Amino acid sequence: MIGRLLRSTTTEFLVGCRLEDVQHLPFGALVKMPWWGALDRSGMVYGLVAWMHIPEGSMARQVAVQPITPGILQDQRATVEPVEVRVLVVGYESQGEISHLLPPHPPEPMAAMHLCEEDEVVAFTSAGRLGYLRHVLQAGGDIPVPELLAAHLRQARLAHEARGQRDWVHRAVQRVIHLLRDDPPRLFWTLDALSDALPQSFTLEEAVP
Amino acid sequence: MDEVLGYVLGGSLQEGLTVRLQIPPQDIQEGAFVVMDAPGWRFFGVVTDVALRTTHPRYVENETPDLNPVLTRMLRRSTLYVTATVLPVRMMELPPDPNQDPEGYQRFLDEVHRGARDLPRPIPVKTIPPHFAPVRLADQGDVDEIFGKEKEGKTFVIGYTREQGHAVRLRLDEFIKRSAGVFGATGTGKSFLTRILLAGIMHHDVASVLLFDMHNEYAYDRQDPDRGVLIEGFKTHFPGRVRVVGLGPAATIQGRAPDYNLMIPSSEITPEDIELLTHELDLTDTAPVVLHALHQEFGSAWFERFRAMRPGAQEEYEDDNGRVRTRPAPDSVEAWAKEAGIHQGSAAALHRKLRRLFSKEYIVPHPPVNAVQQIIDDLLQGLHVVLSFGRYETDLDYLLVTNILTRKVREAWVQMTEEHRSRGEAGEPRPLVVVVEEAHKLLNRDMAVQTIFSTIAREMRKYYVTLLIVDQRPSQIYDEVMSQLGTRICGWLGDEDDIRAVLAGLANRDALRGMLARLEPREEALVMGWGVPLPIVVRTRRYDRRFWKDLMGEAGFGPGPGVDDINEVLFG
Ligand SMILES: Nc1ncnc2c1ncn2[C@@H]1O[C@H](COP(=O)(O)OP(=O)(O)O)[C@@H](O)[C@H]1O
Ligand SMILES: [Mg+2]
Repeated sequence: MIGRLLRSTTTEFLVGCRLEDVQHLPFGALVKMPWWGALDRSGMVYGLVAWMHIPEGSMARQVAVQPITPGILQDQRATVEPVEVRVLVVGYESQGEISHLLPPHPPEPMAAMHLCEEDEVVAFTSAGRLGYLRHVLQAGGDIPVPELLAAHLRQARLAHEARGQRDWVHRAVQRVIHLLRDDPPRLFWTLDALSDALPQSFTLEEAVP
Repeated sequence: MDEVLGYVLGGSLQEGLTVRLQIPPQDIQEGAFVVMDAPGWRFFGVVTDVALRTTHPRYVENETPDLNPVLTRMLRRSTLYVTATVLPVRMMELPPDPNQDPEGYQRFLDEVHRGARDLPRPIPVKTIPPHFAPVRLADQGDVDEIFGKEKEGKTFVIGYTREQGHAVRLRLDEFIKRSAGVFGATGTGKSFLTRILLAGIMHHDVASVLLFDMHNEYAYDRQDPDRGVLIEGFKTHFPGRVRVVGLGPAATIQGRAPDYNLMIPSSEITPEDIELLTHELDLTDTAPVVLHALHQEFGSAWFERFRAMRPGAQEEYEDDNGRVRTRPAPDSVEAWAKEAGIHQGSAAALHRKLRRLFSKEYIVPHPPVNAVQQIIDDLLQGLHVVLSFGRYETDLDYLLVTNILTRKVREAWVQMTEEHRSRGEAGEPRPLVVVVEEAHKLLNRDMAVQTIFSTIAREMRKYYVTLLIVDQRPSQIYDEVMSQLGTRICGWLGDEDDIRAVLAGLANRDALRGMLARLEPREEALVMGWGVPLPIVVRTRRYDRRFWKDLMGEAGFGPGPGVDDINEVLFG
């Protein structure tokens, strides 16, 4: 468990986390949480960590211009309010089946959020036809979509490649190009971010359509 | 079935279909013959354009330079694509697929058996295939369906498709029903193609051929000046069926004696024949009056009588006062002119200008044999006549002789046709093809109205005589004649006017113009015109030893297509 739900909508939820747990929760990571109405079954909502907000600690302003000691730092960590993590909903699972549509209901407050294991990342991202990328590309507000996508693809690519699925990332990029092809400025911007997310050695496997 | 090249995206009957290709542009060429299948119908068309497209102009306007190269490639692959424009030309109903709908197929066959419906055959397009109809290159079966199958009989391979080398056939019996033309700049292979066509016509025996061989190239074997190989003549391969006729006494052609010589009786020359030579002989506008008067007075003997007159001849006589004076001799041109009420100077001028004709050895009052009749008889019997001009190589000889001879020949055919029509007694006349090289000399704008050739071109097949004209300057041929040509086979042409002339009167000229302009300079031709079902670019068949071997092995006539053929044709 890495945090609990504060509030949610169909497309997004807000989770409170302890400051020290945030280091296990990278931007772009795939997380899951049981969805409301399925508490006693195995339904899960999946989301990507899309935005984190660390509230101002009560001591921060006082000590900002003074030298700080390890003790001060410890105190501040103990007293700070929970970190707010915005999670972008990208799909759900019900009775063992993964869907890249939005869940029937958002999760319930207090529901516990977990970070997905690599196996789960691979299972979720290779289900269906990469439809969940739609939710990423459509994310609104102040979510930095190209960066989110880049961070997610980098993590997911490593998980796939560790299992020998080198073409997954090609399919994902292809899908992004397809979804954004009518909006060249956005597509260029997104590909620019993806360029930074891929290693120099990234090569094209010609077998990929 | 062949690989799918792409899918129909849009377009219209008028402007052609847009096909999104899934092959690189270099794998398809303008002029390619393609097939599009739609439920119930198969469409045949021609690629007239290939274009590079993008889903959005920005993808080609500003490439992002530092993208990961793989991303760049993936981006290009999904935003840049190639389309071809396909002009739909023919369509053919498809019977139900025997594998998917055996009953429907059986019903279809029964209907054909009962004569309740015809075997499907390609008809001119009246609609277009739907969106996303798959497009593929025509295979040999498609080409045969459109241009003719070997077992249809009288079909003959004239060349091969550019992409896949499928044999393209010509239905020879249809071909000779209308006048036709072979065009192309000098050296593009017109004479060779003409040899090929004529060899086919002779071998399949669809018509008699009268060939005016101005440069003595067709009858006997000779060296190809371009490649140093032997070009075999028609006499070599059809010794019993081809008569080589040499113009003039003791003519030799390629060092050999012809079968017989042609001498023209001067009585066959009409004033109109002379008027045709106005340009060659530099006649003035008074010439027709003089000619008319000569003909009026002497009838068909006018040429001989005029030839015998002595221009400027004087005689002396004593006048009433006993003085010796001179006056035009009675056999002088002037004396005749005076008598006939013609301006003496005009008569003398005409006589002087006709001197070039008077000195022709092949024009005689009474030829020892009637070679003109012999030629007609030979043609009537189904033989082919190659008239070699021997050493008479001037335009004057060519114009005069082709015109007189063709007129005589046509007269025989007209008479025969009329007998056949009115009384039905004589059999149907045998089709005759008259072949003229350098056709613009006979069919140019000034002349065409008067020559027998334009008459033949215009009356089409009424009297079973058609022309095969061979020319490098089609723009100089009278447009009304050009527009009568059913089949036009055209090699590369550089001149804009010539291109326009060759395409005159055809649909989709813009598309054809492009195909024409980009032909190889040699041994490629665009076959088009309303005599052929679909315009197509062919690599022309090679005329060599192998050609003759293949031709002689080709079946002459075969049975027509049967109901059973349909499977083979439609379902491979
Ligand atoms: N079908 C062909 N088969 C063999 N050689 C050909 C063929 N067409 C053209 N050639 C070559 O090209 C040259 C020119 O062809 P030719 O028919 O004389 O041209 P044109 O009559 O158009 O001036 C020939 O001498 C021959 O070497
Ligand atoms: Mg020639």
